Amino acid sequence: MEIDKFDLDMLREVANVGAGNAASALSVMTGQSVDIRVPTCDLLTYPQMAERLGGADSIMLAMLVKISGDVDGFVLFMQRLAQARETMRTLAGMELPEGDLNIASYEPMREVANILVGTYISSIAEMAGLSIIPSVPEITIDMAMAIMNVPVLLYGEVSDEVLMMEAEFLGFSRNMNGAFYLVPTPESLDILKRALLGNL
Amino acid sequence: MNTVVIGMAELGIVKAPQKITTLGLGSCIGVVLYDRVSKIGGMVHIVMPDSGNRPGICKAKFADTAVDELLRQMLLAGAHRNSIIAKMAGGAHMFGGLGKTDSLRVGERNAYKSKLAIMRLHIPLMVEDVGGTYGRTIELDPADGSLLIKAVGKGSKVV
Repeated sequence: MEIDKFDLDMLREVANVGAGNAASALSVMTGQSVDIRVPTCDLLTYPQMAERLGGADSIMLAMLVKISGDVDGFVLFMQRLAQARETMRTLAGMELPEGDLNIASYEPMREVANILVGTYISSIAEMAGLSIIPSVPEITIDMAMAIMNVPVLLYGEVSDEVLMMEAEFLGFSRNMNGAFYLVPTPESLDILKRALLGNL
Repeated sequence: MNTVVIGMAELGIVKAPQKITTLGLGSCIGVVLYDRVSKIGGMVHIVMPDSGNRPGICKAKFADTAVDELLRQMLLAGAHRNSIIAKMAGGAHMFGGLGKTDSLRVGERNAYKSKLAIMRLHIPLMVEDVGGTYGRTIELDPADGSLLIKAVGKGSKVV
């Protein structure tokens, strides 16, 4: 897998714009200010990945969107459970009991993911001049590392590292923090790189 | 707490009263070997089914090389070949609904290849807790060979 510092910088910039638009969408939905942290784009080893997620067994609400079209891969949208509950309270006015692990309780989050990931993906597609089609989000509650098996497997054949484009958003008044991970397949990474270069 | 933690594509050997654990197995497989005579236990966190016999690979990462390497290190540590048994857990199908995606079906292949590797080495496989759509954390206690399996929202069990 060929990827250098320039590529990482370029991808980070794309993630930045995508996440900015997604944060605006969330802000409109909730009427709350939502900010984004400067995105990161790194090749991470498995231990680094666990550390980044706050521990291999931290419990997360995760939504997975498969992307296809010109770019294949996944977008993962992850929140710590407490922050997912806060998002639910703000968006849907629903109070979930602490430690609620029932997926059905978090069903409205699927719609949130639809809008956020959709906005994120369409900004990136527009910048690259590519067509990227998101699937309906799948939702789960599980340990961070078990969820991360999905991106790990995309890269498992070619590398012991995983390319993760991470964009974190932060709720100001409400604790609605969460993160996007765009994980293109190694083949699609090349397509995305070339398309972005051509459009610069 | 005297517990060794291993991560993805890592392997470890302990002797009672030490324990060994790995957190958040999804489609990955945790294989443990246990020798009841020496009270030596080993664990490997397998990520993918096939190494493709490529040179310079991380042996603990692939089912077809990981179990052999785990056994080799168990024997080096002084375990007795004839009293070793195996247990395995993991191989889930994370995000069940996107089942037609090949990379998400790796859990099944991981389980199959790991089992095959254990059988090829003629090690009795006492427990397999595989499949489902949820992650698992496992902990081996080499004092008695018991394996603790925990899953989010599903409690824990000892097998």
